[in-house]
Amino acid sequence: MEKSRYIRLSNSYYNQGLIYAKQRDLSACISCLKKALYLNKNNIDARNLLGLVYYEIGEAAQALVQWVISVNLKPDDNVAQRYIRSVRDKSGELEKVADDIKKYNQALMNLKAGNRDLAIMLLARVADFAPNYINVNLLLSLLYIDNEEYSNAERYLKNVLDVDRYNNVARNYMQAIKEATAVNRKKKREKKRLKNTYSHRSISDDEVIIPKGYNDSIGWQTVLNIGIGLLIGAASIFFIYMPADRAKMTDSHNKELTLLGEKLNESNLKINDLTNSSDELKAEIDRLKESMNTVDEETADKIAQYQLLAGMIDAYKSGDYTNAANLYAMIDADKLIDIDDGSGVSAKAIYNEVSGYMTSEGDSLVMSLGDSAYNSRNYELAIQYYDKSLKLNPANSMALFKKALSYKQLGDVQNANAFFEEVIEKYPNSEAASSARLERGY
Amino acid sequence: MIDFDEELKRFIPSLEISEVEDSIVKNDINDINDIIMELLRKQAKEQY
Repeated sequence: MEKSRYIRLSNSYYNQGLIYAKQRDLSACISCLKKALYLNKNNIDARNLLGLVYYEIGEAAQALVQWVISVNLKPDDNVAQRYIRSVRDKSGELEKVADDIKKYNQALMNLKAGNRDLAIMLLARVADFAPNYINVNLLLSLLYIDNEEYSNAERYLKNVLDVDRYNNVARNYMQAIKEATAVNRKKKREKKRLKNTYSHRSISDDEVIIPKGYNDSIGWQTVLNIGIGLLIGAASIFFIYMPADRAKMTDSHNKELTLLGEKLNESNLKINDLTNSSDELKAEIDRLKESMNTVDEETADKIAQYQLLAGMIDAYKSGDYTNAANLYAMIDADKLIDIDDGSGVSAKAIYNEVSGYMTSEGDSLVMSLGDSAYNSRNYELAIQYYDKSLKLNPANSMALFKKALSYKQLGDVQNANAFFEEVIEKYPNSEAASSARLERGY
Repeated sequence: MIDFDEELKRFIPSLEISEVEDSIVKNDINDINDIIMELLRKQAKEQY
C-alpha cells in the first residue's frame, strides 16, 4: 500500500475515534486511536486525543507519554504543549495523580499478597477523590461484588459509566449484580414463605408441650430481674464505694505528685546539669501508673504533662532538639504543677527555661517534621506538626501556608482557601503570602 | 457469575509518573510504514 493510503486509513480511524470520544465511548475510542497511530505515527491529532482520553480515565502517565512524543514529533503549534503545561503547572496536580497511581498499584500488590481489606481502603481513598480513575473504580467494585456488598459496587460502577459510557467490564459487573440481587430476593421470599408454614411433624409420647404463654413471660421477667439486680449493684458501687475510694486515691495521688515534684527538685533539674533525672521521673511515673486502678481525669492529665516534660528533657539531653521541640509543643503549661518548696527549682521553671530556646528555634524544627510528613504524602500528620509549629510561634507564616497546602492536598478546598486567605491578610508582604496569592489565583 | 480471580488478572499496574521518561525512551513509535521500510531494506540487503 502507498504511504498516502496508510495516512488516509489512519485519518479514518482518527475520525471514528473522535466520534466515539464525543459519545463517551472511551474504550472504543482508545482502540481506534491506537490503530490510527499504528498506521501513521505522525498523526498528531490522534496522538493528542489519545493522551486526552488517557488523562480522562485517570491514566495521567500514559497521557504524558503521548503528549511528550507528540511535541517531539511536532514541536511548533502543538496543543499538546498546553496540555503538558496545564498538568505540570497546576499546583499539586502532578503529585496528586502520581499518588493516586501509586495507591492503585499498591492495592494490586496488596491483593496479590492477600490483603484485601488494605486494598479496599487504598482504592476507596483514591476513588472518592478521583472518580474518573476507571481502573480504580472497576477494581473496587469487583472487590465489593466478591464481598456481596452490591450497593457499594454499584456506586463505583456508576462512576465508571459516567466517564466511559459503554465500558464492557462495568456493564458485565452491573449485570452480575442484577443477577445476584435477583437471586438474593428470591431466597428471601422463599425463606419468608417457609417461616409461615405450619409443621405437620407428629409428637411422640415422651415429648412435653410447654404452653407458649409461660415461656414468654419467664423470658422477659428473667431479663428484668437481672437488669434490676445490675442496677442496684451499680448504684451501690457508685454511691457507696467509689466516693470513699476516690477520696482515698485522690489523697494518695496528690501525695505521689508531691513526691514526684520533690524528686524533680532533688535531682536539680536545670537544663545545663541534666543527669539521670529523666530516668527517675520515668520510673516514678511507671510506678504511679501501675499502682492506680482508677484515676480521675485531672490527675491523669497532670501525670501526662510530667511524662511529656521527662520526654522533652530526655530528647534535649540526647541532642534530638527536633523531638524536644515537638514534645515541648505538646505540653500544656497550665496543667504543669508548679511545686516550689523554696529551692528555686520547679517543673514550671524548667519548662520556662527551655521556652526561650523553643520559641526561637523550636517552631522551625517542628515545621521540618511537618515537611517530612508532607513529602511522604501523610498530609494529616503534616497538619498536626504545622499546628504545633504555630503553637510555638503563632507568627510563623510559612507554617500556616504549608498547613493550607496540606489541606489542599487532602481535597479540603474550604479549609485550604481559608488558611491561604489568613496568610495573605496577616502577612501581606511575606514570601508565604506571595505563594498563597498564587495558589488562590490572584 | 463473576470469577473474581479471573477478573483480577485483567487488572495490570498503571504506568507511574516517575516511569514516564523511561517509557518515552523505550516507546516503539514505529508505524506500519516503518515496518515495511525495514522489511524492504532487509530484502535489498539480502539481494545485494
